Amino acid sequence: MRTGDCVLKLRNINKFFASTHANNNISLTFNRGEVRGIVGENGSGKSTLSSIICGMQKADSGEMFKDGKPYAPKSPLDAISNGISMVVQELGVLTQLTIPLNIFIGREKQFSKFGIINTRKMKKAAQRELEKFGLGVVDVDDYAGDLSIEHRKMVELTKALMVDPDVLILDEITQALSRDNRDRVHKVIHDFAEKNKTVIVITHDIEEIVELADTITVLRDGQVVGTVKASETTPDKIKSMMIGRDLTGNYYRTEEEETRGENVILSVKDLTLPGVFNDVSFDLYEGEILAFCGLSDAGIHELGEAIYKIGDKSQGKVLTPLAQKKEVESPIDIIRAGGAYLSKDRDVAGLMLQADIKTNIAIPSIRDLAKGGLFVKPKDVRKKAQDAVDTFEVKCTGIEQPVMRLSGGNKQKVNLSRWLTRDLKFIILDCPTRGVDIGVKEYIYHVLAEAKDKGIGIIMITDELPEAIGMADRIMVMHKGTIAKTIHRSEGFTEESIIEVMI
Amino acid sequence: MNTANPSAKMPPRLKRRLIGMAVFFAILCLIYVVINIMTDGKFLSAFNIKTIITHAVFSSILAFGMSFIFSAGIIDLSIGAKVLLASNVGLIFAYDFNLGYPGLLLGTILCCIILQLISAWLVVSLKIPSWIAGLGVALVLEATLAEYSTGRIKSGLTSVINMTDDMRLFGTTPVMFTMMIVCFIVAYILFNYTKIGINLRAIGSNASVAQAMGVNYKKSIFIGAIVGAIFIGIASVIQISYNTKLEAVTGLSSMSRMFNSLAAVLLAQSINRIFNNTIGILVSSVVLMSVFNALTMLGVPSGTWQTVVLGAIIVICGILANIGNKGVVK
Repeated sequence: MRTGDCVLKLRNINKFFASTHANNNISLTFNRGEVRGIVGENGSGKSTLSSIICGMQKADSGEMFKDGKPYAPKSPLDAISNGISMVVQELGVLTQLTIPLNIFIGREKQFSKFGIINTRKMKKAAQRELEKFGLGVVDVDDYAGDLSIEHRKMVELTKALMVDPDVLILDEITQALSRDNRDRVHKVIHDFAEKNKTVIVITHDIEEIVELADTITVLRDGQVVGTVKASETTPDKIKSMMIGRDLTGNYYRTEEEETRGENVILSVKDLTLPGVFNDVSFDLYEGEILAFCGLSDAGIHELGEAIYKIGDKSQGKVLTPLAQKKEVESPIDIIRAGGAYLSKDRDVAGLMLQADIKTNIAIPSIRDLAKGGLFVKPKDVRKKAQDAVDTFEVKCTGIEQPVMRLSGGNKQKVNLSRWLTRDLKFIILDCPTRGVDIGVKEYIYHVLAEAKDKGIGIIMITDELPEAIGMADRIMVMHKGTIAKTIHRSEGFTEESIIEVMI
Repeated sequence: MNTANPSAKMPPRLKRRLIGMAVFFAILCLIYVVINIMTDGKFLSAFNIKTIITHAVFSSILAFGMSFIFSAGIIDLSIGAKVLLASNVGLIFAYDFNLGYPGLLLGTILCCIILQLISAWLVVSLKIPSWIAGLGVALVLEATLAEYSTGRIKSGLTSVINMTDDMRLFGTTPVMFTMMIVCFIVAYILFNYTKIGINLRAIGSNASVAQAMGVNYKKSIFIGAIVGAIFIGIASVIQISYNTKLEAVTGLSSMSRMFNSLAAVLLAQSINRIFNNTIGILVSSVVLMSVFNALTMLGVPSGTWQTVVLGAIIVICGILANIGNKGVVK
């Protein structure tokens, strides 16, 4: 039963990072049994706010009250002991530990006798917890480092739920998930709220939050723009509140027919990754956007890796008919054939976070920048980076800024710009808009449409159906490792028809 | 990523491990048999096997100790210097203070603990990168022992105390083997089944995440240093009891004392998909010593060429360990 009485209150919270006013006088009230969405563009202060509530950082001024009592957590552990648990961007899993140890670390005493931990008992308990929350899709014998980003999030969520908190904070968790796992998390959220608990969901997926939440708070430039009832608003209204102006029409493609060139630029023949996907064959044409959709076990993300020749060794052929070397055997062959690949896991497999923007942008083009195949002029590198930053409107203090200091959206702009400023023939994008706000998303779609017009072929692997429907010429729906259906834009895409095939 | 299959009799990871172990030991046996044939049956003689295991005792116990320090991400290059200094301190306690075996054990182990705590403090409290701190500490400890040696020589004594036969109990084979087995069991339990090992591994994975999950960073590092130092101290006692003396060295030459153990730790990491870390250290130590032994028997000069082979083995193990891994770290 949802009682609706106040569980957490924030009063005039302020947080500064140098001259940036990340949280500006934020006052909010969260009620029991409420699912509250917090949305805002990258850099609007959402994650800063959640990290203050979670005890990961302290507010410069302001007060918080939990159940009417002053609440000022010194650490995430302190927050947990006060009944506030979280799955946030900054935290993660401990890669060298198994899943049970990840779930129970800090609480391993219950399995300990004379200081010796009964790992078998812990493993069974971990399995029980994962199944209890409907998240038992992982093998508990695995090390966390061997898990996909999706399954890592499931482990983190189980850990957060296990302490039975009063308030659960989920910071951009669902965007890492495929549709089936997303549905599992939605169920967990609903069940949790039904127990008169509070869930705070921070997300960039406006459509999702309007459907999922009871109330939505919109932040802009560190300030609260407003809190609205989800039942009384629309995604477009929320987007307008976020960016401070009305959206100028649809940011997806508007034409109903597919358009593409005549030449095949990438041909995949009978590509098989045993146990993941079988006999995948297709051709990608110049100027075509070909989307791949599927559930978490469909193999769409692994397909992207296999085409780019990373990950486990696959069978079958990847051909680039227009390139000098026809058959692709390594990522270098793809790059030389004018191809590129963007991983779903941007921070781990995409960008060099410690390095500056300049280095990240220059690396894929270093061969072109090297004079006589060896010498690279720093001036050329700087120019290349500055051009990319200007073209892609990357918000940064300069090209020397480390990429780790950028917001998610600007990181993705750097990630995209370093490839799209090259003379590309095709690009494989795995979840290109994961973790970016609506403004950056709009920008990325615009960039992709421009790339398409230039004749660049695009493989778009996505967990977001509106994105595939909005942008693709063709959608290949995968089910359990095979292409179950190919739908053309001219046939008319609908979410229902795609989901029907996916499940 | 494998999904759980309740109908499966054996967990997939365990199955993979058992197959890996079977393949590993099959290849090892094959190589041993070939070497045995090449050495006219001398390599697998009882006497030679005993020699190999004897040589593996020091490196394996030292490696057990190192694993408690390295697993938290602390690369301490001063462990060899600590072995040299602490074992000589043990001898001072045993002979100069007339404390006998208790003095030898206590002096060596206590010295190791103090020195290891200093190293941990430099890293944890002063935030000095561990490898830099390690090099600095190694130079200081080497110089300290060298000064001590110079002082003794000036006094008309030998450069270091030479252990007499009546004190060499820890250098005799039955005791050494027993110590190795006991140390293995204790290290195995501490590393895998206690908060000590789990917290250290958590810190090694990601220190800030581990702290957010309730791991006390400083306390864990200091406890790891103490536990590691106890093993290093025991290894030092065995080493000096076996050798009767450990001379002072300078110019970071002390690092050679820890090189075999370091190689065992690295090898254990490279085969950690097959063997648990502690078991991996034991297996690696024995394998490395048998490699050196075989090379000596085959007439390969000790020193340069044997080191080249050791380096090659480490590289090959690293490659083998990564076969089948995904190209993209997820």
